[in-house]
Amino acid sequence: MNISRALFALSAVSLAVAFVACDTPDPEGRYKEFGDNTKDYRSTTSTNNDPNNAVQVDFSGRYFLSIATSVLPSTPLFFDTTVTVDENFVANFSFQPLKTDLTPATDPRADARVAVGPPIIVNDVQLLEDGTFELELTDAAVDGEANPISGGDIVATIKLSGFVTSSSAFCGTVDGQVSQPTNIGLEGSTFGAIPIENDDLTLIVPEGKCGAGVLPVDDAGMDSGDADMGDDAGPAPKIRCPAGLEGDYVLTFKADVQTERTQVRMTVAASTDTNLCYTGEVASLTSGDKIGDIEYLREADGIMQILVPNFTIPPGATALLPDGGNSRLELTATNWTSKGSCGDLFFQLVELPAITSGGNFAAIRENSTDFTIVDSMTSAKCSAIEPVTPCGLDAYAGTYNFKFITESTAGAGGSPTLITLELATNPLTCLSGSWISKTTETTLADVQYAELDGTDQVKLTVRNFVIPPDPTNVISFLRDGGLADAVIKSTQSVPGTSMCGTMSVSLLEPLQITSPATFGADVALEPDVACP
Amino acid sequence: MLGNGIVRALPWAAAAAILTTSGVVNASGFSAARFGGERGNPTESNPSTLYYNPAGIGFSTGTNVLIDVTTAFRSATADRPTSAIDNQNPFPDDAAKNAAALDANSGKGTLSNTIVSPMIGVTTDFGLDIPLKAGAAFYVPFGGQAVWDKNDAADPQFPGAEDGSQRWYTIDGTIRTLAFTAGAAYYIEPARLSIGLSGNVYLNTIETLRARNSDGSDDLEVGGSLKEGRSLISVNSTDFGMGAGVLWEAWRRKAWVGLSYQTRPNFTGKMELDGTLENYLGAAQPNKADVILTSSLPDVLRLGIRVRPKFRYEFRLFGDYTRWSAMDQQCLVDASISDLDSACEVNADGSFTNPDADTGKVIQNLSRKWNDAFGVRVGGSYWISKDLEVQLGGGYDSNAIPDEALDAALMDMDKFTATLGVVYQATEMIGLGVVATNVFYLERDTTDSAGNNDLVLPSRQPGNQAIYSQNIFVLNTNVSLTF
Repeated sequence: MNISRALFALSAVSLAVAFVACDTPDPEGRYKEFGDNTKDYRSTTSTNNDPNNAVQVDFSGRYFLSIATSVLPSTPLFFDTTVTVDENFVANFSFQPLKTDLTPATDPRADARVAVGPPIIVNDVQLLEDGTFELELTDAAVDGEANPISGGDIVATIKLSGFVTSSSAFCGTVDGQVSQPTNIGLEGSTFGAIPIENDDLTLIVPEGKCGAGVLPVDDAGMDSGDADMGDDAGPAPKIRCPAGLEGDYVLTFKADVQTERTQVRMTVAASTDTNLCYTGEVASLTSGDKIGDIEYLREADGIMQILVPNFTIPPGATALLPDGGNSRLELTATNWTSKGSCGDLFFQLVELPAITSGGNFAAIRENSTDFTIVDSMTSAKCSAIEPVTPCGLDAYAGTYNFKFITESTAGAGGSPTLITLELATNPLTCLSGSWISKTTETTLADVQYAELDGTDQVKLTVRNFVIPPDPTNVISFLRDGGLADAVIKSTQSVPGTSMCGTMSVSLLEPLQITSPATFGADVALEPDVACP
Repeated sequence: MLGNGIVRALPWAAAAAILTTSGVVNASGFSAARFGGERGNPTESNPSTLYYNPAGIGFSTGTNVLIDVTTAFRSATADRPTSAIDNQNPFPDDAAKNAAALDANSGKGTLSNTIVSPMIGVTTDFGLDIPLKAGAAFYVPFGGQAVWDKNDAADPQFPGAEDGSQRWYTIDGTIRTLAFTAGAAYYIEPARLSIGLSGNVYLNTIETLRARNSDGSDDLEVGGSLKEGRSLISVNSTDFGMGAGVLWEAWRRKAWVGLSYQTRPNFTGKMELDGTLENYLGAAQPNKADVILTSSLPDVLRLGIRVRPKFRYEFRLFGDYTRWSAMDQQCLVDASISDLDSACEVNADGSFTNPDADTGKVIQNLSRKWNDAFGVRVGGSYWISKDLEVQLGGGYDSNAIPDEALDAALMDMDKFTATLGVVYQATEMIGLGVVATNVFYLERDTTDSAGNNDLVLPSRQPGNQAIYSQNIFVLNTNVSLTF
């Protein structure tokens, strides 16, 4: 019996030790641990040298997808889109329609961008080696609250031709047919997709089409203005298509060779060509006769460009051309908003005598209630534009030490950015100016315009903030640089002396995310990065 | 008193055993059958013979229960040389980072695990005086598990390195075959011969994590961004097999000769495990796909002789021939593949044999090309008293895995075993046994061998050349009950 007890005790002890000490595999736990440890790497993009920058890459993720219809591109349809891509680059899509930003009565919708109706599922879409895919949403039903055009329930067959440009971005063109509430062709429509990093979808700035460098149209052609530049045209300009510029404008311009300025009506409509952005025509203010085409209105390398390649000079308009003639107008806006633009003119007769000339132009919305053009026959400069009511922010003009930090940077342990902010008054934009690097003294971004925020604070819109390459940037995907827009709102300010408040920085490249930020600005001291 | 306690504890022990079950690789390939200790051989009549030789139960009487818990203490290392790394100069403009990258991909990965593997078997004569006996058993014939140590000294600029240099083949996981066997044996009295037949249901599970790049390399970065990824595979299958054997009492109550054969699963040996593959590949967002993994298990031939010329002495000699050549490849494919066999067929260089097949759905081919292996064990028993038996044993198992296919996930070496055990028949009803075995694995150095990095896609994998070492100490604790 002693032996049996000894053996039983030995068995019990060994079994107890075994069960307690037993190593239990947890491959899923260690898999997730790796994912967490490498999370910061995972937002980086991967691209190739394809002319369209399209690449066969796993672009699984959740996206804010906007379809800009050719009917009304400025008010896209929104979809909360989930993409899952397998090992063989076969993708499954779930398109969840979202409510529009505005009601059919154009009032802001309290529940904007909230899911409405069932998701539309499209599976087994092959992403090809060239980074493109095709899919079709057959007889897709979209609730009327997601319809920004008429507000009616939609039934449509939507064909997407996509370009995957990175592991976190895709865009492309749209074709197909809406069959309900009315028959509308979708040919010429476009779409863009932005990764969803935050559940508050209202913070996302929609992109309804591919950005620069991605050309969904096989042959967008060359601008006539490029034609005579031969092979030495240099790198293609970075083109952006600002939203909300459609409409009629009064265009006032004066070439140096003119003795008096010319005023015409400029009618602008959105183009489906992402290289052109907007097209339109120029017409006489008096007769309404067309006197030229607008080949494009676009933002190229941060500068607004308007090209009228065939402006017709009527007989008798100038002593130089008693019988009239044809000319080419290139307008370069140094200041612009959705309410108008102004800047430099390059004038060229396209027939003998081949006269070229500099000049100025100013344009405001026709029947604008905000601005007027001064009653002068010779002025076409920016100063020709006068606000009906002064914006009241002149006192903010000055040169500030400006320091800010985004939540993303702060969260990653990074330091604030200190730059110089220059603000000058401008009749069209209220205030305009630049962000300037403290170290290189180069311009990093343009302050596009300013508005009164509330009763006594200022709101600045900054565009095309070029984030310089920095191998030590704590945000790994910004180490090669980036591009962003920003909106700055002061919450405390002493005009012309100091201000501080909040910002929203919308990164455009290398990927599209928005991060809140805080800032401080002072004309004399290095400010704190936030309000005290 | 002691017996009643054991009987009451049995259901709980069985439940715990099943819940915590895993394999202990300690024979050739990834065979794990060492349950029964020295009595786990084709000449015995205890319930473990439902696997080793189903004819054995023909010699049993009454109802017998065997609960055997194999506890293994496994230590292993895989020392990967820098020569196994694909890119010897990944950062040519940064000597310090270059050296750090080579460190992150080489050196010794270590493992020290405790593994528990149960076996439960029951045989009965139904209380009838008939020559037909039947039984059922649950056990783990193949598989193992591994939890490799973290390398806390790894350079954090390479976030995957903390999982050790062996991570390109294994980090953490289980490869396991659970078997449920039902068998019967018919005893032919005049010939003192038993003939047995069994049917097996195999529940196969593979759930492993490894580092992986889609191009089969071991690159850590590309273009300044993370390249090293992870693949987590979780697949299962249910397969069937059969066993058959004969056991002859050559010399009444003094000598027995047994011969048995276990078929390959599904008779062909080919299995298709279904499940999912989750990936972090490069800087891409994680993805998940439904997949099929093909795998194979061998058929096993066993032969043994047991002689007990005197009451106090017994000698045993037995062995197995395990046809691991069935393990030619494992092929991981997307679940939507058509004509899997054709798509997975590869040439000697690892390339597709049939490029016109649905090869686009092949994710990874794991070249195995294993060899048949054999094992021989000798042992003896001495009864100090009629109730107390001391066992001694020794053995040799050959290696099934050629140098070019050896990796840290599935290790095998030539190995020797030494066994010491004690069995005490406490009552007529209850027997207790504790058997300790150490498996001495001979170190293998494949640093100068060809490897998976010499193959082309879809078979290419990071270099598996390394110095492999391993030791397993096994403790079999068993309780036998006879009613």
